[in-house]
Amino acid sequence: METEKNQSGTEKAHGIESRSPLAANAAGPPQIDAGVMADAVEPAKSDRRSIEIMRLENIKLFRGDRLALDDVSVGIRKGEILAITGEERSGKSDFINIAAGLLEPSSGTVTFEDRDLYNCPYSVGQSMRTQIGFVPQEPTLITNQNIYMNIALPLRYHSRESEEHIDEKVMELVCMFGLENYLFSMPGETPIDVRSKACIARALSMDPAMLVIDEPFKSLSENQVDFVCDVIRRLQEKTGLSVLYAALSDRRHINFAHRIGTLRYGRLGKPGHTNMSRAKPAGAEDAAIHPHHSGVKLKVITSDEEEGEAGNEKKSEGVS
Amino acid sequence: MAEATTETLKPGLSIFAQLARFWGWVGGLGKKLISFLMLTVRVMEFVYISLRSPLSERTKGKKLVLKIIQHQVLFTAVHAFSLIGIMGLMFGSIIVVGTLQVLEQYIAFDKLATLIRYVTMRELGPLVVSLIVVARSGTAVVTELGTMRANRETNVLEAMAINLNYFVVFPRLIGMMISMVCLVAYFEFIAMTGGFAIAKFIGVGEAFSVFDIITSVSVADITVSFFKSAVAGVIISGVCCYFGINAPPDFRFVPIQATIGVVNALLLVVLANLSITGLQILVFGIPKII
Repeated sequence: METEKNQSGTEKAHGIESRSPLAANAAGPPQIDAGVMADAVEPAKSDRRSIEIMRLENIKLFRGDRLALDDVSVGIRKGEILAITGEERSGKSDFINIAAGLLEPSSGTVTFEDRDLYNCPYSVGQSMRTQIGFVPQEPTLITNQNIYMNIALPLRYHSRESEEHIDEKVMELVCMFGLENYLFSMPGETPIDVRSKACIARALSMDPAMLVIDEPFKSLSENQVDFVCDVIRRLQEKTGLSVLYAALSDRRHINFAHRIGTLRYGRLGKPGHTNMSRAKPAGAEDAAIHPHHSGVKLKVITSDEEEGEAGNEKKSEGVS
Repeated sequence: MAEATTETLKPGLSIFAQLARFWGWVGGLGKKLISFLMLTVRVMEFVYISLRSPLSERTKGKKLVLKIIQHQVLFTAVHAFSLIGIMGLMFGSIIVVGTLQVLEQYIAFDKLATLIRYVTMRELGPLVVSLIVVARSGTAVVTELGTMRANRETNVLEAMAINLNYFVVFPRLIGMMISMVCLVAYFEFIAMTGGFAIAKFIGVGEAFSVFDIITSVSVADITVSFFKSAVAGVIISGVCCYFGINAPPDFRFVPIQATIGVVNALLLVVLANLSITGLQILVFGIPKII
């Protein structure tokens, strides 16, 4: 049985390798799981470099004696929205913190634009971090600064632009997220959804190449979620922003992503592609998607199906 | 026989037990001393890294950092002016009135100026102001940074590639240092002039003028006072920032860290004061008062 599985995996691998690089992109960075769900082969390193903005390779994280993340490997492509879902304490936040450069893994490497995020000179690491916008799970703003100052903080710290330019940029973000009425309110005086949106605006203020969000919509109402998803999607389409976010398995907004991977007991299942336009077929096989997702209108395209859809280059680019 | 043996053994056992307790106590003290020394080294390293951080960050966020320095000076020095003034007046009157009454008995008024400026400027001024600043601003700094840590604001700053040593610690070190120097100078001035005013008011040492003391202030007095206050400022802010920024990310630990931070800052400030006094005696010699 095991041998059969391996054989089919190898066949799939050959299938991927024989396709054009663009089609190979569609198959995704397949070697996702070190455990039961690993059934594909990674593309050549040179191909990966051109298509992936960030790669987490063989990440292990120990929390005391407990293995919080177990040999997780995944690549985030340029201009892609990748969701990592899972139950509570499945390791999502650890994964997100590692990707954001906040938590050094016990072993494994995190590369951002082909440079190691954790083993690099200080200045290089800092410049990489400015390219990764991070939104924490709780809408955390600097408490002694108002909403405007919070959004302007990274710009004022890093850029040498004039105050007028910074103001222009901040106002653009403020209008984008509808925060005009709370501009000079202190974080303690503002509703939680305003703080959430301000956090996302602040993360976007440096025009990052990638946005890493931990449970972004936890504190937002359904309407607000749709609004923020729309803003991010528009930005992603306009600027080619890559987005990595963690969400609980039962959240409606996971269909906002191009691909979804599920973390279970610190292991990451193979991320599957989503197709938001079609409902999930009744018998669709989905190793990566958690059973709780069954209610979500979502289709996961497996590697076999992708071969049939190889012509759809737009999708294979991960830009919908 | 058995009773006799027990009686003879009892004192012996008791001595051993007492010795064991004594060694245990000495061991415990040694352990605490070692951990305190280790803490001192860690704080020194932390301060060194923070003071060096502008070199690695170059001119990043210069305006933001200057603004935080301003805020720190405003909170530590300007807002504390009335408190320090009252304290200076009280301490000054105690010293001046007390000294005048004692010296009047020995008709040694010519030593008055030296004694008062030595006690006020070199010893009491920096120490008293340090204690006030630790109690007032030290607790505020640990609590503020501990809350930032518990609130995960420090994580967010790190994620924005903002250097915590440069953005959070460095301005507080500089702000506290500037504040301490200003407050000590202010305290000393109020203590000497106000003390004399009180003495005149109650009719003690009428033959003396405050200008006798002010004109007798030497460069050594100013140097020692300045050095002691600057060092105290760095120690207070360094220790308090260290305990604040290294607080566990949990609100329950904020008051605990504040207590530990303030106690350690007090200990280190007094130790530093003692060390500088020793150094000053080595450099300038023992002041000849009488």
